[in-house]
Amino acid sequence: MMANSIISSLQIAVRRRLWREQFVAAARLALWGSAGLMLLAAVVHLAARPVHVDTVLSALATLWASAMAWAGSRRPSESACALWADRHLGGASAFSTLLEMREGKTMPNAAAMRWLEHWAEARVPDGLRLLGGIHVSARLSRPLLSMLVCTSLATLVLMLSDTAPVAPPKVAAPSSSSVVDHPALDDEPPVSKAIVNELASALRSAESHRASEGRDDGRAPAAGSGRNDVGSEFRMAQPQAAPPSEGTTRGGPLPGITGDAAPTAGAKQASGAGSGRDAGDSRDERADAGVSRVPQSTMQVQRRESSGRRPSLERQADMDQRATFDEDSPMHRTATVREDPAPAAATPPPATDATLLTPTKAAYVQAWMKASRQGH
Amino acid sequence: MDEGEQARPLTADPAADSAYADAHRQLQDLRALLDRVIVGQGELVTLLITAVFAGGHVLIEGLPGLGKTHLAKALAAALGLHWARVQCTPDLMPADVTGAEIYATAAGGASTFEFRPGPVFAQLVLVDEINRATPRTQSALLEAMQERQVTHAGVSHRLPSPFCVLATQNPIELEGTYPLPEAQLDRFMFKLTVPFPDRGSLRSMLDVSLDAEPADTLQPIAGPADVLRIAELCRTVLLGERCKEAAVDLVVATQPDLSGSDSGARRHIRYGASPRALQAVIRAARVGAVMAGRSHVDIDDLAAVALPVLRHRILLRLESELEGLDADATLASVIDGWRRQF
Repeated sequence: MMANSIISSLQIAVRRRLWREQFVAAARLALWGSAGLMLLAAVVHLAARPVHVDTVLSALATLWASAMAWAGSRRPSESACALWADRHLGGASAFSTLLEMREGKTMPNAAAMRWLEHWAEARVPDGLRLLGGIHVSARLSRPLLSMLVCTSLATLVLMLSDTAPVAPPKVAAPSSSSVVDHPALDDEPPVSKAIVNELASALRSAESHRASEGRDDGRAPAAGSGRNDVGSEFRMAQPQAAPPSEGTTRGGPLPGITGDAAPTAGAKQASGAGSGRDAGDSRDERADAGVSRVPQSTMQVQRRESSGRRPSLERQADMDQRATFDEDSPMHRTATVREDPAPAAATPPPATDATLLTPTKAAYVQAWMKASRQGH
Repeated sequence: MDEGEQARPLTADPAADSAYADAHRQLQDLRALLDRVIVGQGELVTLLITAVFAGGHVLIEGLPGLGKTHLAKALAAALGLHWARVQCTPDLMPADVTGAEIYATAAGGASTFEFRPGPVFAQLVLVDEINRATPRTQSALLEAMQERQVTHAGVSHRLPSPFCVLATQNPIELEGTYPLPEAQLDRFMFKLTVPFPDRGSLRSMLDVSLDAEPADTLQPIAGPADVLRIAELCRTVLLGERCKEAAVDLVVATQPDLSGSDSGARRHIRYGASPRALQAVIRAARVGAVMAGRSHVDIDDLAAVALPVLRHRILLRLESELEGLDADATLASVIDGWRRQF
């Protein structure tokens, strides 16, 4: 009985330790699970739908309660305690053998049993000392750190999302183009809207790029005046067009053609009338014949502007929309030039856009035209 | 304990409480004595004592001059056993080992055939260079080892008890030898290799055995009765289920065709250890437990005797032998893998 009590004390100490290890393992598991739960909450909040803090907290509480209940339900058995003592406390299979022989159906040798009990009893003090000296490695730092990081991240995501909720993607308002201002676009199908959005963004990027070029070489003001001239020239050739929106001074765009698209055709006129690299080498007869009333300074600037971009303008020539010369146009052009304020150096005048249509831009215009026709 | 356990009868032959302590002390004394005589071969001495008290036979392999015969003589002298030596040669006949009937005339003039026992009728038999004997002689000897009796002219003669055969063989000079077949090797509990002693042991040897043969002057510290008593006590050593499982797993680990075998065994071993190896492991481990002062077997006891029990009971694949692997290296990895499971 004495030996039994001594051995039982070791068994109780071992069970307490093993059970504590179970709780530590459960806590470690719960920490990892909490970290994963936090990450999951953040991802769901960002990607799918808002996640309430209460939901996350309740899930955490459930996780921890489950882990602790799992650890509490796994009470170390006597055989497990004996085996652990044999392995780690120098038991040399004595405790497990003693337990088996007590509970077994075979008849052990009495002397061997007594010797085994004495032997195990003698090992108990050393076992208890070893048990006290064995350091319990909780290994909670990494999961704890992970959980803290994930919790901080999830808290940040949830708080930021609460203060500045994520707005649905909205079409940015264009600065100078009238494409997105078209009233009929709101009623158009999403595909047309997407095309229009692409067109608007491409045009804005092209405008800004061209504006930077114009500022660099100082030709922006001259190009702006020339653009107004040719634009009005084209619009005079299309009398049924509605009045253009911002960017066109007079006349209206063709049905399905915005003010940005109209100068594409007008650019042909500007190119043929008084611009081009040949202007400096050969005599421009059209300039002499029909544009004599245009102020000389304006025409000279326009020629210089057009001369440098003649190849692109020639590529944009639309033979189907041939412009006609109107007698009133010089007067209008002159008045227009005089009425328009001088464009600021930082914002290139729309005339530059009209005369610098690139193939990409032309493709966008055509795509937009097609989308507009489908909308109508 | 409840009443059922209180009333449960114990074994019919309970040993005294001090029996294990006495056996432990005697084994320790024997080992210390032999360690003084056989310098630098502590593990060999321990395993040899284990085999004697476990009722097994030992095959000792080593180069000439390492003290194999000296060890056998010292062991016999320390235990007070009657010992005999058989120097095997190709012309050694079975009757030279087991004994023969001779025509003898009594004092009254009557003449009869009487059986004259051979050297195998000693308690400790040293069979030197057993692989030089012919297979016929080897078979006669090995039958005596297994059955512990000799049958001659239809009459069985029991061998003395305790009975232990220490056979030696030389790993070199294999010309004209008859290597023991696997079935006969299986009769030996241990196959021990005698390592070359280290420098300190060599130096100590000069002080011990330069001018005298210590085995000749060795005083016995036990007798045959003590050997039998301790051997009987070793059979009562408790064996837990965990150790039983471990022993079975050890033998299974050497089987190349079983599911629980070691990967190294599957790759290198052609034939694994026999069930007799399992019995040998347990018996030897029990003696090891008593030598450690315990009445129960531990996994370490099994591990300590695993290699000498198994090394001559496995056959390697030819490819592995050509790669330079031997049984010890293969079994070392197998035993390591087995030991990690417990």
